[in-house]
Amino acid sequence: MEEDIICVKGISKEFKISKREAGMKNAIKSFFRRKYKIIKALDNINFNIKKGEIVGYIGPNGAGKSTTIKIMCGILLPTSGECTIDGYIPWKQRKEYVKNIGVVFGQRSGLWWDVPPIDSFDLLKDIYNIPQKEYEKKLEELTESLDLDEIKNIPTRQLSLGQRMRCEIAAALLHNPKILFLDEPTIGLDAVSKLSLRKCIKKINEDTNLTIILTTHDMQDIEALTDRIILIGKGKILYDGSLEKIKKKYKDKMKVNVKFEYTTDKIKLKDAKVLEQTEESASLILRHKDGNMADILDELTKQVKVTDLSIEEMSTDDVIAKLYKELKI
Amino acid sequence: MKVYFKTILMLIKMQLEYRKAFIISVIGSFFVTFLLTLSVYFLFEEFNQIGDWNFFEVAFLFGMVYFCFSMSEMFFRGLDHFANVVKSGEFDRILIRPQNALIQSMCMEFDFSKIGRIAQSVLVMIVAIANVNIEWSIYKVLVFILMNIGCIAIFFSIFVLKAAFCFWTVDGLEFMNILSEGGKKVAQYPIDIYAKWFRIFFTFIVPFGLVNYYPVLYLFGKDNNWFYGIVPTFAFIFLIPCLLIWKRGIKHYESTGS
Repeated sequence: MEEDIICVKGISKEFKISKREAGMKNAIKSFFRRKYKIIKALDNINFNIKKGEIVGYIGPNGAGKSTTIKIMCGILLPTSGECTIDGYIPWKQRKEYVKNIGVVFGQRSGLWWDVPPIDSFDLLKDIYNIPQKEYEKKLEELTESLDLDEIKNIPTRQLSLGQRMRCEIAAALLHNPKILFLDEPTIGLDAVSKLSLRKCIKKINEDTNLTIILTTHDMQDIEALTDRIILIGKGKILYDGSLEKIKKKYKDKMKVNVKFEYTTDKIKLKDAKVLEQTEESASLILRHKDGNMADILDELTKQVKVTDLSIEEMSTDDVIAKLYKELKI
Repeated sequence: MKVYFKTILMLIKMQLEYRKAFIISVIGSFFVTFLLTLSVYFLFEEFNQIGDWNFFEVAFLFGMVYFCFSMSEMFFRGLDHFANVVKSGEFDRILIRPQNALIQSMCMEFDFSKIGRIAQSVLVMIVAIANVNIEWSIYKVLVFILMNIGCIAIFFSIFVLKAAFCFWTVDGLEFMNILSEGGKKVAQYPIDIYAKWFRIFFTFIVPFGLVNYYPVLYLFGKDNNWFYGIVPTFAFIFLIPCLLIWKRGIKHYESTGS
């Protein structure tokens, strides 16, 4: 059993936001006496992450994802709570601590815009004080796993988003961190780039036992990379566990479409509800999640002559959307 | 420090990529200072003297202040434009790197084209020195160097202060320009021509007087008190509160994140 590399215990974060109503009068009033509203961005957040794990940190916009990430990176101080990452308290020993983490912000670049990535890498070598030999070795390794050979000498501004993102990841890993934070790494990428990026991330995780925390809105990222998700909404953790389990929960929403030979008889099934029926087709859903699909089909074929059948599974996006709705976040 | 110079070098490289734009801004920045020099010249055409000071003596002060200001603008530009760094969230990236945040902020930007202004102000200084009667000694050379370093330190402090305010608000920074732009204007003339409260402000609060007026009195032999020569050292004291406010600013940023 691997040990926990990240322990987050009871982290809360409050922001003071000045409140102001519209209108000139209120603007003047608030200039002299400001009313503050306290907003709880994070409310008692707890989770542990093991070394080498990939965790998907998901939640709707404004749920507190980036606040959590910022606290874990040592950028923000929490109002209360503890957090130990690889033996460090992120916001206390910032300069020492950040040598252990790599961060990729999908929407912001860590590379210098007008020079080729290789120049940025070279500068990062000095910023992180990486010995020349180690740097060369790591660069070679990353060049191979992220396929940078053809792109590392082209000015960053001329790279496609997918190429740039691969360079961003390389830049975040040059100093050989133990933990990698990926904040929406696939945002705006085309399908092919997404697939290749996921493959690269998976490979790096397997090869180097790197711990990865991934925030994303793309459920396919999660499906491809990890099974564990931590779901946050309105500053609270609402779910921490496998994605499969959630999907199972909504199995009863599985829809079955059947086509059959002409009949006017109404279909009646024990374990499934008929949503609609015409003379040649029908669509049904399971009544409860432990309903057995085989039994239902058995029953169905006794009543009608099935010519075609398809099962519509809920996509992960649908599942998550449903979950958000159910949890009212 | 090595990181700072390496970053600067890379930023220069980046700027040289856009060759035409670079040449135009160098020429432009040269002429901006040239026009300002002319305006001082025309002023003296009218008045001949300002107080006890003749044209070349004032031109020396002018050249020196502009030299120091342009150097600061070139090397500390990242601090001057720090509001952008905070607004765009780039400061987060600075905090996740294991280097001093102030040095990193300094090299967020670098405007090499200010070399035009620097060249022009050095030229003014040389012409002025050639026409002012100075009895040079090793001590006076040291005083001259110290003045320039002290003056750059004041501009640096003001830039740090201006950047530090960005942690609380990115608006209303115009106020800070009173110190940098205003200080620059004030310091290009000998401060004995101003009202007393004004002199006190620019001697003890924002100590521009310490880096040009007093040492220049000694340099030009208007006053032979050698102590005036080391007065620029005290200008560095101004740096202390500015750095403390910067530190407080970072603390504030860490607790608000905006």
